[in-house]
Amino acid sequence: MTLRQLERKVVYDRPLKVGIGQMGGPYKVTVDPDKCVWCYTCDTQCTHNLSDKKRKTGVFEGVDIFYDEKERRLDPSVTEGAFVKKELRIMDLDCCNCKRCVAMCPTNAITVDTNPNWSVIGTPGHGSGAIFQNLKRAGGKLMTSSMAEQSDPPDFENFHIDASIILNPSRDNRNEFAGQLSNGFLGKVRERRLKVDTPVFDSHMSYGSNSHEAFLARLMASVELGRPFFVGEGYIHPDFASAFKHCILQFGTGGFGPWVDLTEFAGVSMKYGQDAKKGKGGKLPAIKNDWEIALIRCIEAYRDVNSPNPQHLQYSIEELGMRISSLRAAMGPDKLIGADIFGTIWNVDHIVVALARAGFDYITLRGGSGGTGAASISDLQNRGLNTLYIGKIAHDALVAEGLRSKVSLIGEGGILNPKQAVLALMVGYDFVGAGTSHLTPLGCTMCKRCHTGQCAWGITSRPYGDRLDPEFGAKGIVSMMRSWLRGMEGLSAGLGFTTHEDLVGSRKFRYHGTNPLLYDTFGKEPF
Amino acid sequence: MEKIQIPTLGPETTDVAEVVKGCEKVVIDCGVIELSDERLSEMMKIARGEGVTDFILRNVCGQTLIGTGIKGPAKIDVHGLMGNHCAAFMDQTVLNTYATNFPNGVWCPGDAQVAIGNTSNPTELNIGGSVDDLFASYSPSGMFRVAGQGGNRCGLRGGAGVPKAWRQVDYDSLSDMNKDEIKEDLLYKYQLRKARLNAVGWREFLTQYERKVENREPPTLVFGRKVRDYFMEYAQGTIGVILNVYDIDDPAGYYICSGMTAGTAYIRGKVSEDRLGERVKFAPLTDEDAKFLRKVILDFHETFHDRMNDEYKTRIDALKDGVSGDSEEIISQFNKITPAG
Repeated sequence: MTLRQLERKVVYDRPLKVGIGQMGGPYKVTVDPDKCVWCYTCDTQCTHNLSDKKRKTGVFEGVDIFYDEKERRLDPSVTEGAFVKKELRIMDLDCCNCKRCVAMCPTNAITVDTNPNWSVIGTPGHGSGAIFQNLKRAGGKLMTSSMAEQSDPPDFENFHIDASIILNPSRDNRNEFAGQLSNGFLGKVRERRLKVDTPVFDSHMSYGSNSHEAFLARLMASVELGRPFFVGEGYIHPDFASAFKHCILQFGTGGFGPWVDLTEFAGVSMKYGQDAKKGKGGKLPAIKNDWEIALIRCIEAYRDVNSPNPQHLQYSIEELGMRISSLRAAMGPDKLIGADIFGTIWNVDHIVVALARAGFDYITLRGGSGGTGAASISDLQNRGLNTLYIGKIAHDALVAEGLRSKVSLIGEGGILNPKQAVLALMVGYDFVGAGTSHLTPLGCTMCKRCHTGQCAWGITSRPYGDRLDPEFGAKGIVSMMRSWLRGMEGLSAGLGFTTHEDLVGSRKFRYHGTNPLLYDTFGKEPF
Repeated sequence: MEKIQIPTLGPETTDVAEVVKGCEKVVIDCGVIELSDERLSEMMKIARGEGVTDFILRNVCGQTLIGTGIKGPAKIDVHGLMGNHCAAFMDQTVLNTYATNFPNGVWCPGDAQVAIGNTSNPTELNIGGSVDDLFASYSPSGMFRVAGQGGNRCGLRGGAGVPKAWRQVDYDSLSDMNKDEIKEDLLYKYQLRKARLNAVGWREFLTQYERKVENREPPTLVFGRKVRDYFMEYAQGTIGVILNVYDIDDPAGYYICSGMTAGTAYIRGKVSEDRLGERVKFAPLTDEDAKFLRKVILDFHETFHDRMNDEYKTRIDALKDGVSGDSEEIISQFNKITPAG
């Protein structure tokens, strides 16, 4: 057998496809060609081929290619006088960092490291773990994990949900009617409450902050999922008129919009403050305020505008009632009116009670750790209190005043996965809002350039909006939310619950971390 | 010719729809404090639904919700004092207020309270008296005239006019759609938009909207007397005129036009630099401004000269005389305030 070696080569394979979420796998595999002896042990040892299970090999594939003197390909069966080219092909998309190849390599030529394209992404609280988990959900993948799950952001870590206790034994949501969460109502007054199929909402994000396509994708997803769509303060494009009855208009600070068709919407939200921007409101930089935006918002084009300060139409908390009756008279008795507030440090209880007494149908509480596209950085550093903590305060205050049956609570701020959503429901929120997660299936990598109008994915940049296919994006969001719902229903069934109402305010969890506020609130029974 | 009967509604009326059937004009007697705010609003809504376009409200004393959510074209005459938050969310409607004598002989001014005409698009809103704070706040379009004074924060965050597209949406044809039809409709409209966009490119696509922007009419506020602080705060295109017929030395409070991003204020009388808010400056009056102000003054005179007291009448007559012909005397007393840079 006189095979002559022509060439030895390590080949890194091209990705299977390009587009949203295609940043390779979490790990990068490199082989040192100076050390490698082309024994192909790694080829036989690696078993991981999740991206294409028909493939016979795992991450490594050793290939010998035979040639004759004139570099013509020969059949692999030749054994005499041929030249051979040895290729080690690496498809590290599937690598899970089990390090078996490293351990088995006779020359220690393999290095498995983290893939910077995958791990250097997002923000500390909303990093690669959260982003890629939601992307997998958006792709319709079943979220199963072995051994350990990645950690939660600081506001949500160290919470444990109780399960399998004697008094309400755990049940199976897949084979029996248990843990169902698709039967809630937003608003508690019979004539105007809204059936909600998905207890996780999209948050208020303006038309203008989002591109036409991103907004449309989110709107279509919300229509499909059977939940209200919360329009931001920048009003809404008339092209979306057919979906207005699924939309809740944000009155905000009242500055933007023609206000000629209020009765067509499902309701309005009054803005009294929001998590990351406090009372200050967002800024729409001149570059993003183009002619079309100016038409929709009824403002002058190409000027910096902001939505400043809270509602001026209330001078005092006593005047809330007057505002409500004015809105009811304008919109009719069958429309929802809600209030958006943020987790103020002391008076959440007083505020929610005042709002409930004034006659609001729902109150959106924005806790800390939420994100936003256009806030001053010092505001962002001074965000509200923990979403779970203010939810408890608000729920307890409403219960004590006998008002809990009159008003729905929505909790927002930093909720990135189903477990956190379940925690929020258990604290006492009727529904949760998850804004940023809805942008992940559209391609958002949390690169923090929303305010520049240069978003390369076309989410927050209007000129590049056509990079996004709204139908595809909507499908991604719907799959992600269905996956969230499955996860939440599993946890709820694990607690022995049957319906949405069982879960809200059930408080079957415990905090065991070191945060003194959370420990005092959630660490000792009963709370 | 058959004489048209004008029905009168009052606190005792139970079946509004029956009484107003076939009528275009209706009188509502609020009985000073007899008729509740909610019932009055409900009556007007029902009557508007039956096709009534002309409302005359008598003996009004602080009722709120007058004209709230009324869609025009319609006309509302209010005799008496309007309460808080009246004329909010109103669309294409004319509303006038007049001073009146109540049945017990008490005279009531044609004033109005807080937040009148907020978030509304009236054709005209003529207050035959004074208003308090937040008059015409958040209003995207319309003509707002006040014979008397204004309170704080009048014209807060006014818009730059409502584009025609908003009034052309046919909601009736969209009301019965189910989920799938809605998604289909949304995608169809998106494809149309995308086709238009791809045909011309983003720059030219936006320019199509530029033409529409120019066709809007911004809200215009005209005050006969002075206003207090924060006039036209955060305005986004509003035009404000203070005629100031009484006290030429003190036309407005502090922080005038603070944070204004677009729009213009014309204030007659002495305005010192320290009364201006942030990010605004004085600008010289042009010939177009003078033409606009003449028109505003003549319209204002025509609106109010019949319904005010004699002293006021002489003052606005003098104002009218001052702008008739080529006289520049009155016009030169105006200060023009625009956003700085």
